[in-house]
Amino acid sequence: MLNIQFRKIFRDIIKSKSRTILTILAIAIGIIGSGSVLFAYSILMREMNKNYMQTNPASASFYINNIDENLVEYVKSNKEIKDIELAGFYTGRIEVSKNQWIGLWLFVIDDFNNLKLNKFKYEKGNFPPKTGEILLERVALGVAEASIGEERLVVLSDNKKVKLKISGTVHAPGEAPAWMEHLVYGYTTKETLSLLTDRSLNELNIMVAKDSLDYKHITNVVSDLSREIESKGYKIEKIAIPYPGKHPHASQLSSLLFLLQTFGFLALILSTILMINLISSMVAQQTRQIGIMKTIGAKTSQIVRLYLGNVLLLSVISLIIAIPIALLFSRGYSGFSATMLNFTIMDNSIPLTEYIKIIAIGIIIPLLSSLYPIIRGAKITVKEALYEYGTKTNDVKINFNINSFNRILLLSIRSIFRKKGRIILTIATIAIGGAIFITSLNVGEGIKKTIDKIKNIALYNIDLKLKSPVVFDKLDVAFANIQNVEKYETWGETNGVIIFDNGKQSNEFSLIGVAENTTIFKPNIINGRWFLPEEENVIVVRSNFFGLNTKYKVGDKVKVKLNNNIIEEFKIIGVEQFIGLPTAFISYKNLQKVVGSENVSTILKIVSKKQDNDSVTYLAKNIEKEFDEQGLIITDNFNTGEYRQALEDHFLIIVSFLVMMAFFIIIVGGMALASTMSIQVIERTKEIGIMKAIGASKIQIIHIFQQESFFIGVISFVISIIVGLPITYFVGNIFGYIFFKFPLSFGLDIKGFFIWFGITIVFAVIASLLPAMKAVSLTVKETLSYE
Amino acid sequence: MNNNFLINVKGISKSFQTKAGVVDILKNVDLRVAEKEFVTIMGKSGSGKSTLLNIIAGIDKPSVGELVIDNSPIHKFSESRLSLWRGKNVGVVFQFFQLLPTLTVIENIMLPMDFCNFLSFSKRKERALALLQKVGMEKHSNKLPDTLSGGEQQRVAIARALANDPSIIIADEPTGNLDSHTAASIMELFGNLSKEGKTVLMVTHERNKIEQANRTILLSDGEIVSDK
Repeated sequence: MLNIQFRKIFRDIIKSKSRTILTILAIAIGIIGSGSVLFAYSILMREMNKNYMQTNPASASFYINNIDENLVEYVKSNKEIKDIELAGFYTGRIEVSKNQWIGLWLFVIDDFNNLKLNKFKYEKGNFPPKTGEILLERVALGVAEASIGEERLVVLSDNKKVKLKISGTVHAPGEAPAWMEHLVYGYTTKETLSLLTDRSLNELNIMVAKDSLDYKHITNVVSDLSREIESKGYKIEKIAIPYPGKHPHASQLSSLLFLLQTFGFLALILSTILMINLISSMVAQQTRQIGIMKTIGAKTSQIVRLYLGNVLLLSVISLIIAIPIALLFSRGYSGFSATMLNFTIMDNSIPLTEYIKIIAIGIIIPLLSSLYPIIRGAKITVKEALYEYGTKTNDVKINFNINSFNRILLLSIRSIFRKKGRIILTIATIAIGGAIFITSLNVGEGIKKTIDKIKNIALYNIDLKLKSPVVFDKLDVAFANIQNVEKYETWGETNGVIIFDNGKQSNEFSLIGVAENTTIFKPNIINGRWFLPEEENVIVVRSNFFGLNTKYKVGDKVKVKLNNNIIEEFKIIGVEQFIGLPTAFISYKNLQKVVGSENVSTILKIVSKKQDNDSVTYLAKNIEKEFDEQGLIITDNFNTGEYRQALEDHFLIIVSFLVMMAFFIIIVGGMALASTMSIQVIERTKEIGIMKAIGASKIQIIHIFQQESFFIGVISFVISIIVGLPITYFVGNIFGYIFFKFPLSFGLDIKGFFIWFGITIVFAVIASLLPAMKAVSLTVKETLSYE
Repeated sequence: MNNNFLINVKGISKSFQTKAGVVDILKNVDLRVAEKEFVTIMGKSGSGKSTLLNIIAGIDKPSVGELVIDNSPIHKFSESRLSLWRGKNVGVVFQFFQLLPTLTVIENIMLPMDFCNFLSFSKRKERALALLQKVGMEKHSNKLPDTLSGGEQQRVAIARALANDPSIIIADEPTGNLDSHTAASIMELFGNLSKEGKTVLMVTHERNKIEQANRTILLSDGEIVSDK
């Protein structure tokens, strides 16, 4: 037999169906929000790490042109090295369509069947590829606009164009997603490599014997080993040390999770406030019953237990509803993130600990948040509960001049402030909903604005890299035969590494020589300044350059080893913000002077007369054809518009996610608004009776409530903007730093403000209209005895 | 203190602070009620009769003065202690019945026993049924209050007031919301309670109800002006 108190809980829940549904929904929102975050986090971090660690990433890679057996054996014998693997890495291009090429990273595998380091997973087609065949990374297949079985021209810097058959696809979760890099990753054999170049395997991958996740230890081992290798007469072209155990795109995943966390957290706050509101209203509505129970002997603690039991039951129901939805959301979001970052979710199970956490959140937060209104309600004296409740007002003085206001309007305004605690909660609920809505649309706007800003920094359409320095006259001849070129600038590029005081070297960065009087590059300087045309040995660095050494600042001098082995000192005079790899900028003339013009690869930044994508693609093809005829070897032909489009497309997915969140908030916020407004009206049913008794018409009473709702809507709207703007700034900053390495542009979606204003007012008026209509239809006697 | 009296009201005053100034509801009231007495309290609206009744029931507290019931200084009790004391010693009957709407008739009667831990769990239903029989409502035990008439609800409220077998029954205009025929039968119930040994204090407006009582107090402007 059920305890009578439990029966009362159960029947109260059944009796107040709409409030029960709203309370369950309020709790469920919080659980769905936090549950989605917890579940998605556990799936994504585990799966990303699993995907990455299954590739058995090398501790470091040495790029050496003349690797031989002796060197391999020598490195193998080093006690600090556990594994060593010989491979090849070449950059080149693959033909997308006639005269249209895209960058290719060609990985040459010594033994496809016994790959130990930097592994990838076979997906489709022939494996291993035969001579004359190439496997493409699964995402890269789309980037190359190719399909399995097709033949495509491939060229390395030797400019030997060879048709290779795409034999299949692999999944390489260790590489950055091909769409993000706008690159094609290809995997082939030594034999196929020999068709493309005379050069052979040039990459030595190593795995340290111990502390394989200790970056410092790895750099020490690599530093010692590189000295030993060079002492034996080998020339190391480059060394790459990836951060151990961390997927190259872990930060992008963090940004996606950050978005989820932010909205999960905000949903939890919204849910908590909504819950406090609903529980307060439930306790308020039960005040008379509390008085009766106290009259017949109930102690305050018994009343508290009774209503906490009510909340507990609602929490359990909410958990049962919300957990499957949170599971659905988290799995959907995990799938979306995994597709974006090119890893496979092999197992989307949730650890038991996460279920325990969410059950604890789903029970503890509702109990804690309802504790105050319940205790406050339970402490009421019998006299207050039975004889005085609903007739007392807070001592709020609003000194409006009575003559300047319509008396009914004055009643509406004064009624709003009658119950300070309740009105604060009502406004807070609606304002938080509005702040989330506004933030989600603003962040989306910020992303779009950032992409626009990126577009306005680099005003060229084609970024062309040539194999060797080219005489200007020859370029003029080539361009004379190409239509639709508005202008072009000649830049240069070389690579460098920072030499630290302790003799160690940084990872490689690009040193770009910018045309002195460039008009198509508007650097976004965030600190210091851009260089003057005649200035020498000064550089402007991209903000992510500081990832190489965080101690640097404007005014510091850095020692750089350039690719001709010259060590030169440069002064940092400015910091520029843009996406891309760590880069430093110098004047083109200065670059040529420092490294010698023969060591500078020529970059051509070309502006198309016609800016539409088809015209630019056509121009890029013409350039390919003409340069080929002129004997100018292109190593990269990059359509910046296409890249930006790809970037924009993917960010639009995030923007869509934010818009989806915004609509979710409309529903939730609307419900919050509707419930709080309904409560406002329901609690004043007696007052409605009094007004009717003194002659107020139904329309006049409804009008009072609608005016009140309108004022509450306006106040909440103003607060939601005041709160939403700093949240937008905060979310934009964090998201931007994680994804772009710089803050998002501050975006304001003004139409979002209007939408929210409209929603607030419409919901507020409708939400108060329905209960007010119901209340005015009661007789005076019924309203005065309303419970 | 005279131990022959169950209820001792000594020099009780009650005043309220309003924006217009201090309003005195009760002025230095002294009242002694013996066990098994049936006392009706009468007076005009605003005379202080309900306030006096509420103070005796422990629902309200005096501004000045002492209330001693069965040798316990009630005016000194905390709100929680008052609840428990009231649950065990006082049965309250209101004009508007005040039954809990989501509990059935029998559950409404069993609830005070649950709160005050009166009798063993298994015997509570038996007692509730006996009380319902006493007020003639045993056939309605599983109904919800809003399915009953006013008179029936008041009978249930009386049964609930008796749940923990209190020595005092306090009723604030229990017939004020009932027709005359029903009111008479309710008054008869109160009369029976008094005969069974309960001390009954009742506020009423209606002079013709007094025949059930053995003592009538008349209040005017917060003072006892007649005690017969």
